[in-house]
Amino acid sequence: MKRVVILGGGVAGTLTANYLVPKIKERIKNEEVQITLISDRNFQIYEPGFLYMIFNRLGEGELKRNLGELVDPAVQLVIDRATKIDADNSRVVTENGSYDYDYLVIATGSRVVPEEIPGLKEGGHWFYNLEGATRLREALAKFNGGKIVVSVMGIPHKCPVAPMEVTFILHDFLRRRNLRDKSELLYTYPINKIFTMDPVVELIQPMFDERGIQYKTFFNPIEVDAKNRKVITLEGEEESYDLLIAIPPHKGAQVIIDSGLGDKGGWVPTDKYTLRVDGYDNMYALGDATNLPVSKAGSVAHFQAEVVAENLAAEIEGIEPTAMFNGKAFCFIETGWEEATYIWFDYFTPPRPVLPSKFVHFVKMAYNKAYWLTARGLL
Amino acid sequence: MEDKTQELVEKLLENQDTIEKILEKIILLEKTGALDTLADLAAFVKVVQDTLSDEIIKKNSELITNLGLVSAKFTSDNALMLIDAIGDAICRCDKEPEPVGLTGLLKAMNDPDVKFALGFLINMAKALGRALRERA
Repeated sequence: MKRVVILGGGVAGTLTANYLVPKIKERIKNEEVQITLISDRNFQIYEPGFLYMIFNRLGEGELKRNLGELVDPAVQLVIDRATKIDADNSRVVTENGSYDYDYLVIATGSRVVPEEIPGLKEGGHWFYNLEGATRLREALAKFNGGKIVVSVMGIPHKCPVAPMEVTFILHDFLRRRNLRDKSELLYTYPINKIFTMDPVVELIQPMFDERGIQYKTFFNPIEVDAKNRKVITLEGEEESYDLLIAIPPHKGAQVIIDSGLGDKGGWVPTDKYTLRVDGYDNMYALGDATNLPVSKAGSVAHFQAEVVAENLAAEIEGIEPTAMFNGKAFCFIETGWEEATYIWFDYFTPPRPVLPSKFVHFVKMAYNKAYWLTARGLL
Repeated sequence: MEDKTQELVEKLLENQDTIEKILEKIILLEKTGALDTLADLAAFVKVVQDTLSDEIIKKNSELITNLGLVSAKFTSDNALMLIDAIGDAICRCDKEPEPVGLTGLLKAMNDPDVKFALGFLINMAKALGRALRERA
């Protein structure tokens, strides 16, 4: 029997499992193949929902679903924490057991490491995990005017457009609460422009200007002075704040680091087209876990899962795998409380944002609820 | 005013190819009467946009999503086989049912078809029990 182990119960892991099952269902039924998905928690969180949760537009309960609801029943679901990938012996070791594999899919995602910026945990907020979003929701509800700094403190980070989105929504949030006149909004980005992609900068920068949103580029925070509420940068700047919303540095999963499979940031070296882990024929990596120069976003994991599932199915059937990932990403960009645009791009096509509209915002709001159909492999 | 006219002419000239293509399409739409339909459609889209709200979108999307998640399982091979078999059973079952007591029930259990169905139901009860425990 061939054993496929999928490590991770996020978008990348569940989608790979759900796409793979229908392709080889006869073999699963005949017990020629077993698919095991290992996740350290029995639920999945829709992380893009944090952007809405902090403004009280989505509740915590709306962002969670049991994995049992999302993963095809033909998949063996194991709730356990993986502690090591023993690649030489094709085995995943968990806290409570071990799982031999013929094929391994690494979908271990990314995580924020605010502790990497001294003072950030004490002096700042973020919305990139549940605990941070819960705290920030409280801070925003209590905010009575002052200076808000939205600061990107490391690249790569999840959902590259989210810092711009939160800034736009903050502008409208403050207006709706009659606080905009009493508030300053400053957005900072580490490189020489406000975003990595020029077509997006061309659309967004004038919109920042129109709304009186300030921005600073080449701004690389190295420390937060929590007591005096100041961000200190590598460039020698100091920026004061009343409320700091940071996009903290990110790292790959601990199990990747502990298994010696990652680079310095814990990202798994992966082929940008085949999604095979460099140096291993029986390992694929996708989603946030990889070192690829693509966005760490759910949509990327989605498009990659199609490729990994197709190639795995081919290998199981004894056919040469030929599917290739073309770098596709799709991102909605909220440009206010009730308008949005979107971009898609791949390795060969630059993004071309459409004019922001209410309809695109509605589509995004609908998708926030319908995401679970994506996880189930239906949308 | 002259400046504005000048600007307009320049813009038209700059985009001549695009404007010609658009005009061709609009003329065709007008000739076929589709332009009126499109104008009506635009009014409809506007009404939809003006009456929708985040809450309506959220509620309806949630409803569709829940139906979608459930339907994924009810369209699996096993579920389709069961639904198909139930359909056949309903179609073939044209005899008036007779009242059945305990003795009748025990007697019916000797029937090979009833035995097979019972086996299936017991299998299902097992799987249902496991699924319920997993969700507890």
